[in-house]
Amino acid sequence: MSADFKITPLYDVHQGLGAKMVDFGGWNMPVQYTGIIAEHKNTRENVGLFDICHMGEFIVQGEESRDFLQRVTVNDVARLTIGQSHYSLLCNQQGGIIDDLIVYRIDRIKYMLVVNAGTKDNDWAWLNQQNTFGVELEDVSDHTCKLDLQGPKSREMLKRLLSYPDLDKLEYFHFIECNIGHLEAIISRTGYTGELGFEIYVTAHEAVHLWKLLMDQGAAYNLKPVGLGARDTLRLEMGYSLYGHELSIEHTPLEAGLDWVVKGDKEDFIGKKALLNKKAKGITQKLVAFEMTEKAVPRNGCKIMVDNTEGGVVTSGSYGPSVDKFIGLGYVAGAIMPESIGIEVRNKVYPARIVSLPFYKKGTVRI
Amino acid sequence: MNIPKELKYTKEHEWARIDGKVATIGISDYAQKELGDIVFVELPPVGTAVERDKEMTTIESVKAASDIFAPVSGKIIEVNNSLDEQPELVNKEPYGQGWIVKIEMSNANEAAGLMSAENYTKLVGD
Repeated sequence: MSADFKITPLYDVHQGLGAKMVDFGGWNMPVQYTGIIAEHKNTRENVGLFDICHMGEFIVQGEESRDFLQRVTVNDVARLTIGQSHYSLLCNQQGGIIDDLIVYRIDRIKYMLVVNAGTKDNDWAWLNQQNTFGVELEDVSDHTCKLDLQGPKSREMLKRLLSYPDLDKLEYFHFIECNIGHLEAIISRTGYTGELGFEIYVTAHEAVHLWKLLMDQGAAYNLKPVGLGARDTLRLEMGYSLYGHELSIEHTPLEAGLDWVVKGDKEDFIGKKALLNKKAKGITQKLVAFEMTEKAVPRNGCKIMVDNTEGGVVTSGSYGPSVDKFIGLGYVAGAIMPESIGIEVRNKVYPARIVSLPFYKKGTVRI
Repeated sequence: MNIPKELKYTKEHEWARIDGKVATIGISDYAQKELGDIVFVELPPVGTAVERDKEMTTIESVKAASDIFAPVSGKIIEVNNSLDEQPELVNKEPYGQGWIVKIEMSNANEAAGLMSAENYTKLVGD
């Protein structure tokens, strides 16, 4: 590990568990504990615990906070009730994606933004630059830790630790503030796996305590710690985009299949004009999901061939343990999507079939 | 770390079991641990000529692809077809059911140039 990388409060815990570490987004994180496939499958069958302390959290508050967020994000903040969150994007004037994020409405004029680790500093600079509204911005990333608890058994397991009377009633993309043991936490019913699950926020110095509490409680539910390796295969099976792969400053939400996030009828926001223009003109490339029909592993950067000509690029690809197939996402040029494409792997082209998302169709995320 | 004494090794973490003119090749326990879950093994066609220390085939884990180098020169006479449906055999039994190819050696002297178990242990530690 180089001195340039940050570590989460759980670093020693990961070492103790024999985790294989990797450098990701400026952080030294666990990529696996017992094995990516075992961790992935266990999350879909039982429950998994993820150290996601590296993500960034900002607090936005003030009378103008709603107007500010309406301006800098593409989704409609006016629709958020207190205790509700939504998926959104920060776009620039050209409609290019600066980051994807979740916006939480904590109080009447107080919001929390949760952003990617690798883009956090950039997002912070951008938000401050755009703050002509006089809202109070606070970067609480260093004081905040997030652990993801995901899997069909997550709710049963978590219920018993809470001061909250009825976790069953917490709806998807809603959150509560309550105690886990004696720890104050925000428990959000959100996640990145496609399974029933929760993202739990605590202050950084409580993170190790929370981890231990959940590991102890989880023993009876087959809880396993999960690294970033399985986090990636889990999200890929659902077709969830990853910033730096499917999303970047070079892409607009329209190509990425995220037009549903862009609320074109709300008041003016950064990128609105560019996006409405693009929508009218039509996009020239589109994100597709594909399955290999001959065994080969598609990877980020592999060329996509359409009718024997280079017609696109793979943005994410791997083996999907729950679907037992080689799957991927990528951009394909053109207005009409072909049914089959070729993926170039080590100078040879292998056939693949375009499919609809999600790859894995039995996820429990909404139960 | 499992490093069977009767096998020979390379610095690229392949092992070779020499039986007369035939060398059975696989990757070491150290290598399979480093790579993680194997999801795909490219099996070269039987009859392919291979050259010592040159790239012979590719093995893929969930996260990355890795080259396998031929420890000895010769011709591939057999490949482990079980790896097609069960690539995880490389992780479970790297020295047994997870073998990858069998090479008929063109120069049996090359086997003498391979690393002993003792020296390979020094390379990868205990």
